[in-house]
Amino acid sequence: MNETVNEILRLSDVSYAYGAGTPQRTDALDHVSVGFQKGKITGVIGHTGSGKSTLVQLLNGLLRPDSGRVFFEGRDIWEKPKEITALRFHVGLVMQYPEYQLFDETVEKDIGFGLRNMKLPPEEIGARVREAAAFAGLPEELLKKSPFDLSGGEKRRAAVAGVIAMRPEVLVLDEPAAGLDPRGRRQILSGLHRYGRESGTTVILVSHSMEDMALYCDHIVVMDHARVLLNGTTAEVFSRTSELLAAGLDIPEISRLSAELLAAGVPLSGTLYTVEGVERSLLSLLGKGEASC
Amino acid sequence: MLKDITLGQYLPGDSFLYRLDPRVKIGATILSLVAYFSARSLYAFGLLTLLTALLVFLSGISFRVILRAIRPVVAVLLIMGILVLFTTKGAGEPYFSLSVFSLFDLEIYPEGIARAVLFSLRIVLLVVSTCLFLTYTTTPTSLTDALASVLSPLTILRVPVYDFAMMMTIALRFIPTLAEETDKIMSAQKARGADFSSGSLIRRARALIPILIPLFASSFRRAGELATAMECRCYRGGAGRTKLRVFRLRVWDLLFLFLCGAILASVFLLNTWLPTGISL
Repeated sequence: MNETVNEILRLSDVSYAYGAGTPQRTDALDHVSVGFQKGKITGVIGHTGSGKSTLVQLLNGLLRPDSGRVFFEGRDIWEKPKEITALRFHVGLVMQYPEYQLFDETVEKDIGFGLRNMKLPPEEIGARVREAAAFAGLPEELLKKSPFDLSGGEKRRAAVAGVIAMRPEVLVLDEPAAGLDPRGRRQILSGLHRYGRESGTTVILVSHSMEDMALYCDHIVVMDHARVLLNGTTAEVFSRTSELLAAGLDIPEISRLSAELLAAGVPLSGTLYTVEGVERSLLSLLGKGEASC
Repeated sequence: MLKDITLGQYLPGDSFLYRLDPRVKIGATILSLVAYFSARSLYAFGLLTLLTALLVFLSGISFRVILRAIRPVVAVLLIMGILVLFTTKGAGEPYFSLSVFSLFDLEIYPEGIARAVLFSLRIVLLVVSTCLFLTYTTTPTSLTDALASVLSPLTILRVPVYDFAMMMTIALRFIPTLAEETDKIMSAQKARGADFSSGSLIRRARALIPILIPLFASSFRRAGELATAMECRCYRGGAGRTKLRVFRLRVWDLLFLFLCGAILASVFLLNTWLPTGISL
């Protein structure tokens, strides 16, 4: 159908286990099949240990599946294992706590690390570094500083810029907002949202905050115990309140409220997982049109 | 993956080896080392091989895990074994002789074969029993506690045994953490297209810079955080610290140590009573 045509990445029946052959063997992914839509922002959410981080490392070939296949633009990425480095320029991955990967003398050089690995000419590297820094919300004057002199939030943004600079078709971020204060969270997530929309890049966001997912994602994949529990548009996933709660996920206050209103027989409709959406729906029920409170 | 290294890794389980006092296990390891290296007679070797096999059987650790412990030393064993094989000159006729450019002779004597086999066997037994006694069945913490306890008489000579024990505990504690950290940093740099496995030696060494710098930075950060955390909990040196788990020797522990001593004694007896013709 139409959905598979627009897919840029697909995991097909993928399994992965850590410590295979030892008593500590743990299944991180258990026969998972899931696709990611081109040009959309997809959220991957789940409890700690549900397999999210393993999933994203399979997407750019950092891990090789024990069984099953990974497709990028319809081609098996492990068809030629020697060319896996080339794939990593198409599928950019920002790992958890990426600020600990910074190493170069200046922020500028560090952001350019991936570009030098791509063997681009120096002029282009310079231009792309500045562009990526702007996208990541990093002021120009910081570029000449040592990455170790930046604040936590700035380091995080420098690391994100290091991957954005490679202009990957798919940008995968593992918990990009972990450990940041609410303001830093909003800055980085809304920045990524804007970047995805403006550049048309497919963005895959891993998080365990349902509030963030509700605000920034078009599609949501819910992981639970090494399997995909739910997969659909944000509205579809948020309508399955009971399953989300059973998976131990915190649903936003507002969708809890709207779920209770629906259960009580209030015929709400439209977007029910943001405050604005529920407000609009309630107002239209009351016949007040677009008035705001 | 770096996390998969088995040599030096505790495997949770439950068998009589797990329940032995770690100090007894250290003693047993030393006794078995002496036994393996003093064995001269083939009968003594046979006895030690049988007993080590029995230990493997009783330990409840799967045979595959034991094989994995041996794997890293196989290459060394092969090289050393071949050297021993060709350098041993026997009394009788060689089985095989080849003159290389008439410079030196490659000769294999029956004594050479016996020595190479016994040499390899000795190392394999050594690795297996050390892994069984110390790494697989003893947690690093109880191992260092036991070491501190065994070495505690040295405090009279003003040797800071407890501080060393604490340093060792910390070092051991951080090996898996740093391995995991290295793994993460490597993945992060690979995600930015870094290539660690191709190019000349110099290129490969240069490729390590993006791993080593973040690793050093985070090690210093961790060390600082740990020091602060320890001071917050009023750590002021190890002397006089009490333990949550106090070691107590039980009858079975003493019996086991006695048994190990008896085996060592029988190895010496077999060496003198039933010597075999090969000089080892």
